[in-house]
Amino acid sequence: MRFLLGFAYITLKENVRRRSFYGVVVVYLLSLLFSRMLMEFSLQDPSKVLADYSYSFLSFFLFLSTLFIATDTMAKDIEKKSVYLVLSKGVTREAYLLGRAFGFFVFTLSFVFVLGLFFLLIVWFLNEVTVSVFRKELHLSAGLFVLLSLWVKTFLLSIVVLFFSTFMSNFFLVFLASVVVLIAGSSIENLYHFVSVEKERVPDLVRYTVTFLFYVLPSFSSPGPDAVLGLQKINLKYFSLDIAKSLAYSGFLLSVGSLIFRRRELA
Amino acid sequence: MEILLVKEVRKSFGKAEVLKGVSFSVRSGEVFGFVGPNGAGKSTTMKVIMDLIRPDSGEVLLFGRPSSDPEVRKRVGFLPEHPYFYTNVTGREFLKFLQLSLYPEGSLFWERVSYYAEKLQIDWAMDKKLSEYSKGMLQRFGLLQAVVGEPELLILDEPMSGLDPIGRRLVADLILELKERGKTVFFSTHILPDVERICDRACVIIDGRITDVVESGELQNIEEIFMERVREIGVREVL
Repeated sequence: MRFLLGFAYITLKENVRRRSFYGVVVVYLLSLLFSRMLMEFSLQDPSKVLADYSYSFLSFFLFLSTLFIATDTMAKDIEKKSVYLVLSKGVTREAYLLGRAFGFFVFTLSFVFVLGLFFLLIVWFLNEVTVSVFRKELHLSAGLFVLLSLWVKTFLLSIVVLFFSTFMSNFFLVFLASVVVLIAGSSIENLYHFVSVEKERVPDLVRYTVTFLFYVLPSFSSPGPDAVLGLQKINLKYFSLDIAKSLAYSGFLLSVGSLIFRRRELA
Repeated sequence: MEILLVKEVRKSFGKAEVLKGVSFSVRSGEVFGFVGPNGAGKSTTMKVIMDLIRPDSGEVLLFGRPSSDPEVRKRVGFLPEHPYFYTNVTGREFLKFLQLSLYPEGSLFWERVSYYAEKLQIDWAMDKKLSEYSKGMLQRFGLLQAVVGEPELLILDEPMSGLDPIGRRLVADLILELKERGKTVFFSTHILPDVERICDRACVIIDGRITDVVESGELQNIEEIFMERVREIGVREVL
């Protein structure tokens, strides 16, 4: 299992040096500033508006950056043939895939930690300076749950990208397929709840299709900012199940990906 | 003793048959050249040997075992043609990745890195990012990563490619030194004087077929042998 350490090291080194990584952090901070400006024009609860914007920016940047970085890692390794240098040394293809996955496990943790810390700090700070009538009691422990969920979902997204990289030969195709899964996986939960509630109004075929997709697609939904503001309680049972499902899904994709990658020709 | 055995290997990509029953063997302790024009099937043969692509038929044995066995590949060092490295890391960081992943004996590994980096005159660039390396430096770094694990067999795809005369000399000297230390080297090239200078034996591949295995006594005639085969098959077909 030594190779896991090596892959965690190289994945971190490779990606932390990207200029785009720092670009994302800077643009994220600017976006938070922008959300503060938007607050001035809002007639609604400013704390909530601020938290919603900050959270949307956070998840947007996390998912988008992970998509780009993960695609640029394994798909490019194969396209540019740098994978030869690793596999020729007796590292099995399964170990390579697992190593890359572990590398992203560590990288997404660092990424979510950095951006998530900014998110919590900004929400806390701006909540403090907002007018007292709208001020909320922040639930930082719930904030940590939100970040934990985002980490697992970001990791899951990187696994989706790795999975597509095991059989797609083109960088762009991998990116495109992963975006489709991300979009579908982000909305399927809401859609499923809608068709479950509106059983009479939705045709059976649509309901069955949505239910099937709900179980087949990975879910990228996370407890939102309302949990941090104490407006929504995190259901621990549901939360644990959701995390477990995401991790199991990652494991499943890695297993299938290993089987495919083992047979793939790297010409 | 045969350390590498390639038996009747055939490989097609779509309708194009690239390898048409390639067979040869490499003995322990020798430097074996693999000579052929561009597109003859040299790199494909090497990828088949390294289990990067699978043959349609035929067999490849490394140290008497199938080359698909990852354990057996741990005894092999490989330099692909035009090696591509992770560009955001330095040479030392890439080697650290290899060390963490594969070589538990840390201090011994870094001693070997210093030794070979100096031999290949790349020691001064170890802390530079690999994206800043020139083509020749990348080629020499590629050789460094192949030899640093002290493999018993080295498989080098066009190791002299992209090198200036000084770089070619450094690589040729290193191959000869490795041979003196009992290592086996199998390398492909189309630079015939290099074959004459450093090989014990060589084989010629043209249009996916091995046409000749040239023994040490005949190596000085390899250019004539090679050109004759090209004429027999037809220059247009070969090119």
